[in-house]
Amino acid sequence: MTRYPVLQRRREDSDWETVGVVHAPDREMALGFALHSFFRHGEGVHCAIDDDGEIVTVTDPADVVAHTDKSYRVSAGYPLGPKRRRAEQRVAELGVRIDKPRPGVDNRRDRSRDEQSDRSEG
Amino acid sequence: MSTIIEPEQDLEARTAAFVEHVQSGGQVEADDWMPEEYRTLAIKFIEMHANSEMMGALPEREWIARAPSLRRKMSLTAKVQDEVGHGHMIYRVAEDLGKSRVDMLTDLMNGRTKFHNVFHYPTKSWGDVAVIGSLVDGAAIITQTALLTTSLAPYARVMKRVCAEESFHQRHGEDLLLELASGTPAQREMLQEAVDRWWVPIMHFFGPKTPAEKDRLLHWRIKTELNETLRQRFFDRYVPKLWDLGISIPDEALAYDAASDSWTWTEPSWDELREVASGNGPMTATRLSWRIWMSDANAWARELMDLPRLDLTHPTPRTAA
Amino acid sequence: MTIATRMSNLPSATRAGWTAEDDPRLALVLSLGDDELMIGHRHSHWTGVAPTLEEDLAFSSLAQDEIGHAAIWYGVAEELTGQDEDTIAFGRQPEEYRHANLLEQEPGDWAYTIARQHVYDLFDHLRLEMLADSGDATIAGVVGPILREERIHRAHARAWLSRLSDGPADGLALVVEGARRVLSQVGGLFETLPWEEELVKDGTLPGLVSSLYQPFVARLTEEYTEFGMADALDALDVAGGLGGRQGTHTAVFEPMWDEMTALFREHPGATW
Repeated sequence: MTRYPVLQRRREDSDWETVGVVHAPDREMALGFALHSFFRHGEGVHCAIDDDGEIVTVTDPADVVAHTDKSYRVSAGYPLGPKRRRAEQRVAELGVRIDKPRPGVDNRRDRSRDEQSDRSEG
Repeated sequence: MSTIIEPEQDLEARTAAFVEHVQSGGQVEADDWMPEEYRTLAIKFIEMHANSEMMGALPEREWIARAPSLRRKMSLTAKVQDEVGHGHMIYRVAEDLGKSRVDMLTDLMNGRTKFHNVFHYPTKSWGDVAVIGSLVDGAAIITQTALLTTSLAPYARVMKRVCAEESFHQRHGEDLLLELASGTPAQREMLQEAVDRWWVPIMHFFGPKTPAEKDRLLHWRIKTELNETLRQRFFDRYVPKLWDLGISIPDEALAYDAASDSWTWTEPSWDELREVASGNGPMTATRLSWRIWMSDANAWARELMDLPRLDLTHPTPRTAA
Repeated sequence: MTIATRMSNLPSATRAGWTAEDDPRLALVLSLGDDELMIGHRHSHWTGVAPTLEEDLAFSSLAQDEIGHAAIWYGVAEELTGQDEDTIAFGRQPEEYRHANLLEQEPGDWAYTIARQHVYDLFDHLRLEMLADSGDATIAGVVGPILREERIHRAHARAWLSRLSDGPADGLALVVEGARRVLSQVGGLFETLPWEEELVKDGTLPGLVSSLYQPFVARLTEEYTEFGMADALDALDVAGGLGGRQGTHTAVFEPMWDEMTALFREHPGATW
């Protein structure tokens, strides 16, 4: 079993960057696994593996990108604005909003920063 | 970033220099010198994280078959797939520290290692899918974001990638929540009932209010923030959201105090957490057996992929799940 | 063009003429969507529990692809019926589904799964190539991207099976056994739909789906011989697994249908 570092080029004009590693019995399977492991969310346009120093590219760039709608697995596939408004409306209609005290938008401290400064003073 | 520690210093001095390095924000690579305690704690922490990603996949996976729309069927599959991928990447970090993947998977399957308690609980409805996708995941994202500045550099790099993929999970989770909250009375009830069941496990997830001086993981900066800090951040982010949707939280004492700018809340029974963490929680045995069954039947496939077969010793029988 | 032998387990032409309810174009599109949905559903079983981590990710993508393809075909059906894709996918009664019965069988072990994936994707590849020449612009129009993704599926199956003879002996034996079970029901993929001949007459179909059987067998024989799996070929049954295209399914389908559709049906009109 060999570990193959996986490389990507984000855009046509990008350099190769390492994005991870796959375990595979040989380079052909490594290339297949590399696509499924690291290119599902449109991360890049070119995929390659490092086979003991040799960079082996996925020959057909069309294999690197999706061909049918995959918006369901990226953030852009979830425009939440309209749904948030619809939920607000529904809650108002039902009159069920729970109006208890909560942090004000303008009154929020960065908790991590303050906790650390407390520690260094202690 | 490579270590600045000089090799000729004695162990105590080296360790002190290491602590200073990490406590002032420095990082180390897997092949840098590190104190034994650091390595041991890091492996344990990271292994548990990877195990949780793998086991977290199982409750959600059960709903792929039952998803009520084509798009949700795909998106749930994709989310579970991402979690498996995260497990993949996080196991790699522990491997680079010295524990092999086959040992980690075998230990997980034989009940010898732990994973986060929230993944031991059964799912009962689509409400659970929404709660896991929004609140449970939300809790995980808070802890993962805090790990972006962990002292172990390869772990930080993986967290960067994990957090990037989690952005789709967060939006997906909120999408699920909003649909139920603005849906039929039955859907709203489904959501409320699920929140009522998952709240305590989520409180458990953040761990007890361990003070800084007792928190070894914080000492080494493997973790970067206190458990309570992260839990308070969770309250800030999700309690107002739920209240705005008219969803109540099953903790009478949960309240925001403006003067101290903090939330008071009821600490749950940590006994339940200890039991669950040591492998006796509801559904644990089922899930562990499930994974074992899968491996038994298909051991040849691992061999074909040139991977070691897994040790298939069955766990000693436990009390009924 | 010769029309190949009609394959069915029902007597042919039971009605004098067909009605809008029997729309053969709809039956075809449903059979395409239903095949993809059922195999996608069965593939999705492995997400989280596949034999290796890398394969878990790969096979999960295949599952998502197939469900996505089902959505595309149901989108075409939406134009024919006015009903949305989810109602079409989850709102029918069991006897209204037109997938081949091979595809509703439980995932079983990895050997069966990989054997079935290979056989189905070979069949689907041939069927899609034929549909690319459909006289129906909508159908021909959606085929391209689906076919392109199916190439990855073909490569995946070939990658596994081509390594079998160099791998553990129990692997090859199990896969041959799985393949035999698959081939014993393969006939149902090629079964003729009600009024499928009408679609050939009007150019929607270049030929009956049953006409793909011989090219399928030729290609399968080539590949199985290459993989060291030729022993499985005698299980090929052109009359095996019939019924699905007519809506007659096996005992496993009702629980599968119930699991897949219960939540949808319990909340009519709800959005998720």
